[in-house]
Amino acid sequence: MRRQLRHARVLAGAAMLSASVLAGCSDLLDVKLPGRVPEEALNDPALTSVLVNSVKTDFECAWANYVAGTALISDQFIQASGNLVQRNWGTRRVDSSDASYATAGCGSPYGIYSPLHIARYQSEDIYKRITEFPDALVANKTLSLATVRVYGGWALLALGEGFCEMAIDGGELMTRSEVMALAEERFTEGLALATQVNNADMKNLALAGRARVRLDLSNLSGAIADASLVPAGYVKNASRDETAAARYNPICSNVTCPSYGRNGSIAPNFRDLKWQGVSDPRVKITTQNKPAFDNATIHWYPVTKASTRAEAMKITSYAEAQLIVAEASARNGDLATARRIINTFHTAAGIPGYDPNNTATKDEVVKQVIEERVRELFLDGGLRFNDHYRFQGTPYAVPYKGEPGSIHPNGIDHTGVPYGNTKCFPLPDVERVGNPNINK
Amino acid sequence: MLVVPNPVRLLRPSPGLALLVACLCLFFAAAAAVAQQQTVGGQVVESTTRRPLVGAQVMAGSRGVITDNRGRFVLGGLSGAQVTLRVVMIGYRDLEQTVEVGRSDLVLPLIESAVTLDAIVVTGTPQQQLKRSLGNALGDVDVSKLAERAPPPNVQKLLSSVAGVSILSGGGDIGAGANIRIRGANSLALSSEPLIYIDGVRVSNSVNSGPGVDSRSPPSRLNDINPDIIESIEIIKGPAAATLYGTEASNGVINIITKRGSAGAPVWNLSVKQGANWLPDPENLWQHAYYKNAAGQLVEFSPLTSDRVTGEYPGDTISFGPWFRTGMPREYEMSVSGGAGPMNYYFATGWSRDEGPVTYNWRNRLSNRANLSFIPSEKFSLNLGISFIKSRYRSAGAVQPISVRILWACASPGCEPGRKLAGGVDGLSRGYLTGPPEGIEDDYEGYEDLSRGVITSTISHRPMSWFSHRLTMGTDLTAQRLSSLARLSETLGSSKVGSRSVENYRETLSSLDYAAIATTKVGADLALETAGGLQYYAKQVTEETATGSTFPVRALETVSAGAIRSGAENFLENKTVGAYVQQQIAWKNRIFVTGAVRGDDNSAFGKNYDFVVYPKFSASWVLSEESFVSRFEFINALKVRTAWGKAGQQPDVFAALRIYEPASGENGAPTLTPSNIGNPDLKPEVGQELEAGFDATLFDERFGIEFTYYTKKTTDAIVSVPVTPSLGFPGSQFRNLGEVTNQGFEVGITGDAFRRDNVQVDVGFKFSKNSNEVVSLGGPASLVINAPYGMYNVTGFPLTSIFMRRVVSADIDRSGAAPKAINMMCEGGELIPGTNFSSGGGAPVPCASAPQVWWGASQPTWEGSTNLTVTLYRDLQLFAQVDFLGGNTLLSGDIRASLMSFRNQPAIILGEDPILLAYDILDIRRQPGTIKGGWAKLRDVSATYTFPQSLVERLNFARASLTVSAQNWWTIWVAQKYDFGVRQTDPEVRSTNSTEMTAYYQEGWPQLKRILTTVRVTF
Repeated sequence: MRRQLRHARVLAGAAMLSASVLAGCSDLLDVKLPGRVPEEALNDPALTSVLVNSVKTDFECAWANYVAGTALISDQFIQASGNLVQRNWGTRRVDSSDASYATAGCGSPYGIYSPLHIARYQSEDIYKRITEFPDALVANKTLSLATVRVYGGWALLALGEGFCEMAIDGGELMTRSEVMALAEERFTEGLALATQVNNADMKNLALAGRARVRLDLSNLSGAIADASLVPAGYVKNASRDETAAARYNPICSNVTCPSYGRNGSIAPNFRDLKWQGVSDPRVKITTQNKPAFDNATIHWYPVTKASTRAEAMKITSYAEAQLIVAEASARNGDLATARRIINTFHTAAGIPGYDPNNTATKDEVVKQVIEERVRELFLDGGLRFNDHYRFQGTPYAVPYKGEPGSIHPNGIDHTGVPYGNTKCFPLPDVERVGNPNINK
Repeated sequence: MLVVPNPVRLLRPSPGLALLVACLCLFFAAAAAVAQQQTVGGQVVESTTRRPLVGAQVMAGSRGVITDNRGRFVLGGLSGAQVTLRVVMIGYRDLEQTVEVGRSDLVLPLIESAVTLDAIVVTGTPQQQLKRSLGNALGDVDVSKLAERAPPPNVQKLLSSVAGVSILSGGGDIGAGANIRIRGANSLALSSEPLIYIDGVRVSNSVNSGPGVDSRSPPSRLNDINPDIIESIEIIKGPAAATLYGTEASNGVINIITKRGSAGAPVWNLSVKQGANWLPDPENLWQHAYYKNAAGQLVEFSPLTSDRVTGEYPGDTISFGPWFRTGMPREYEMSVSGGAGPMNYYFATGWSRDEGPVTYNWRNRLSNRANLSFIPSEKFSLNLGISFIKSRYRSAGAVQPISVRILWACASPGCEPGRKLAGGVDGLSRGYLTGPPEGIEDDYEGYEDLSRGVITSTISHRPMSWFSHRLTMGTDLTAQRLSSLARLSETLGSSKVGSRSVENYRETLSSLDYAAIATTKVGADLALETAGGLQYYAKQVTEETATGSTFPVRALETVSAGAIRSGAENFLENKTVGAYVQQQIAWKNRIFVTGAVRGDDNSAFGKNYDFVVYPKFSASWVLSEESFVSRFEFINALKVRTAWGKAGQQPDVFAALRIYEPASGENGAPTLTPSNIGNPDLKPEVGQELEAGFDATLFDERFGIEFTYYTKKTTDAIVSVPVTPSLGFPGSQFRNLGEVTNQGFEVGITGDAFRRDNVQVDVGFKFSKNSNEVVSLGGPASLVINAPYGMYNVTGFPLTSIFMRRVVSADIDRSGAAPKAINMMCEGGELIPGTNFSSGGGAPVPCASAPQVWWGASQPTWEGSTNLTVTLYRDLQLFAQVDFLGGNTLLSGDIRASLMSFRNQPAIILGEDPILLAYDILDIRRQPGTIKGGWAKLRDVSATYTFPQSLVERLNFARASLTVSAQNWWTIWVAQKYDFGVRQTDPEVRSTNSTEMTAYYQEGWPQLKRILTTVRVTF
């Protein structure tokens, strides 16, 4: 009995020791979080400028990747990669299971879908947060809201133009038109806010964006109205620098810069562009006669565009707006306006004028506007990719690579690789499977 | 419970034993002196390796002594001309031998017993336990013996001798780590690597890759440890046994037990190793390339052959000139151990250099270990150990390895002569992909510099006969510096701008483990043992990285020399607190029943989740001590056992929190971007395992069998669900959704197949089978989770299974510019509802509407090894071991890219295979290179000669041996050598990044052939 009591005392002591240690568990388990920010911390009016910059930065990153990816798929490049993913992209083979565009981030070559949604979400979420901040605690609240809305509109524009179908915030499937209608709504809101504070930069960015969306939606007069208001000389860029891979100009780092990726080469039809026998200075291409990454294709690249990883990438510009006016006008039958705009570009480039005798038909003029767009805005803004898509089945069709009429009309590229059939990005499997409103 | 002392094992951890040994020696010595009677003396050795056996009992009638730390004994008080000696040691068969009285040069060889029930184990139990009391299987590696037979290149190699443990190799890059899988892979999303302990103290098992090392096969922290300081390794294989280790232990536990001193005069051990590593026949090792010449003929091309033929360099065909070499591994080790008074000691130091097959792949390592045991009384002991490791590793993975330039040489079209392209066979690259290899060594450098200290300490106290407690504390401090340098160079295939990256990674792991044990006896037969314990682990990781690029001149090598610079800092912390109680009941020291429960809290659990509880139950029954079995004389020992238990695996450090991370905007503007969507309900996944088996020794202890069947279920399995991107957060979200099962069996057989005076043949065999299945992903059947590299976790199929469309027939349309597949028919099959996945096996359907069918699983389903040891004339031991593995499917990026990307193989150049042409236009060209992954290799061949004692003693040595060993000499069998005519270089090589259970790999080096000569001297 005595022995059992002694046992019990010792065990009780051990149990008390255990209990006292466990009682202090909450402190023992405290950990630091010095390099990350919990969501709750964002509800601080003092962070408004940080939050606005966050929206802008996330959009710039997504836009840069979108522009680079769509450029490689378009007929501006031929693929020249030893990397199978990039080779697939260059031969228009983007599968819905392809993680490179679906879930990859900005540091990866063509992370598009997730970065665009992050940009869109950030703009929506931060718009709500700033709205709820007391006016007195936020300087330039209206401009902040305008900025957030306009950049959000541009993210939606890319999601609408680039993808065959779409979902937002885990919602149901949306058509391209529905997404672009939402983008138009955001531009309209942003434009109103920017107008309230008379901020020209945001006004013009909203106008150019809305004009482009309206053109996509075949609202030609609306597109003309907005685009005409974009002032001469206006250029809005996505800033790029070399502080991190997510901040690179990915066209340079993946394709054009001889010191980096070299996963593609400028397509032969853009290497020596002429207009009526005169070299067109808007697309200057060169080569060092060295192989691209596939070791088989000579690497051709632009002289003055995407030539460093820190080179800013155009979001929109007066030139783009003018070409919207030209296209919409021509499609509306106003060929004179289109000719005038085209010739303005020709004059600036120092090349012979277009259709001096005004004999070109409507179809010819529209086609010429499309041609002017790829020359004036070579590699810019996902515009060529959008033109491939928009004009399918029309008299102005711009054939995709691998289709009859393209540089590789037989469906086989210069290295013997068959082309795929990507015309717009499919909704990624990761969205289709994980979204309960789609995968019902 | 009663513990029958094992003299050998007790010398290490047990308090008071050294004192006991010393007293016994003194007693018998004194008695002999007084009586002036005759003695016999000599040495007890292990019969095959001739290793001295410390702690063997040598008896003559009622007299006896215990061998000292050199295995020596002197037994006095004898009379007469002859005496019969009986030598007993746990783990060995008893020996009886009649010897002449007065001899002092006896050598008494003990033969190892096939299975030992009375060995003491220390892993997975609150205190030392006899193996007979364990209800679970325990892997036990006798490192000293293995190292003598076939010196291992690293610690990971040692583990492969245990049934159920798979070592999945990262390839032939010196320093490349392997994956360790115990009883298969368990987790859908978290690491499947086991925990690692040294002398009961938790140490790092992290796999950190960064600049300068190949991220697909980063170095293993396990391989920092010098195998020569290890006495043994104990492995518990799953939740049934790992309950007391709690959260994170569901993948099993590896406990490394280091050598310790024992009472006696200093024993010095010296060993010198020298050898050679090389890639066999590099010119024909990798698949040759092909191109079509101007005449349309197919031409075979190897840039190495071309270089040799054209005299590009004066290479020889063995080491292949400047591109490859024969590496010269060497090691110099020294240790001293002994004991005086209450203090035993063991000091070891060693320096090694291992060299790979290229001049820019090597590893230098300085390793030191000191173990001190202070045993002032039978009630108290203190064991203290300190390791310090410093190493420098130059990885060939600082840039894509040279194998890439050879394997994918002559990318077609464009490489054929006459076009004068830089990438052509007559161009600047001489046909190598990206550029000729001569610049690699000078243009690229990648290093891992490591400083690591491990401190282990255990205080044991037995204040009362029925109560003892111990405190084990320790820390592992790892400072790893990874760096890469790409020099500014205009050489083809080099960096055109130059860059430098440095990462300082520091990991501190602190652990504290307290256990208290009370024992009592109820009557003569029943013994009770009650134990309780507390454990605390804290892990802290700091990481600083800096990168500079765009150098003005080539000579610059620092981050600050870059025109563009960036830096980052990261900090992670994780803590666990756990407590347990355990009750064991022993009946007549032959039936043991144990129950335990453990509770854990962890800093990474979600805020809505508090505490996890892991129970355990086990039982063992030594049937051979029951009369109904002991009548069968051929059964020497038989134990049946079963165990059931749970253990956990914790989620990632910040997985539960919704967080944003800082990023830089225009002109350096500070911004915040979504980083992790978080999950406040996150809790650990719990592995639950039931195992049953038996251990038996048969036929006069000549054959031993260990068999275990297990079934394991991981519930609340953490699934890394890709965040639905439209929600606006990147990456994945950890959710407790799934359920994974593993089941299989392990069998280990050892046998003394043949024994005569001068010939002894021992055989060993181990085999394990494992199959796993995703039982649930927590959602509808259609929920399919992407695994890495396009593999999928699908309900009803093995983890990370490969699903793709499979073409079964097609025609070729030659009417166009190039042949093209048409009329493609793919394998059909019943669809998993709501998905386009199927197990296949259905009638062919047009590919456009075909399902993605199952091609195989990424993880091996069976593995094993068999070995043969032949001992001739007691001094010469010949050893061979064959390893084998299979049941898995590989995604060979080497084959796939050769065909689909670089198109340098006949099958794609000629365009005559309709199936391959179909894959060229189907999906994203993923199917080619999907091959069976099985192989069998003659892993080790060795010969060990133990020098005769007469010669050794003349040189004042106690023992000397010479071992010549060879590794990876012959690939006996490969499940599938070719796909579409392209050869897989080495199916054993795979990505070993710890969290990636991937079947995909490319660019790896095959395993090196290796010869090593080892000289060991003891004095």
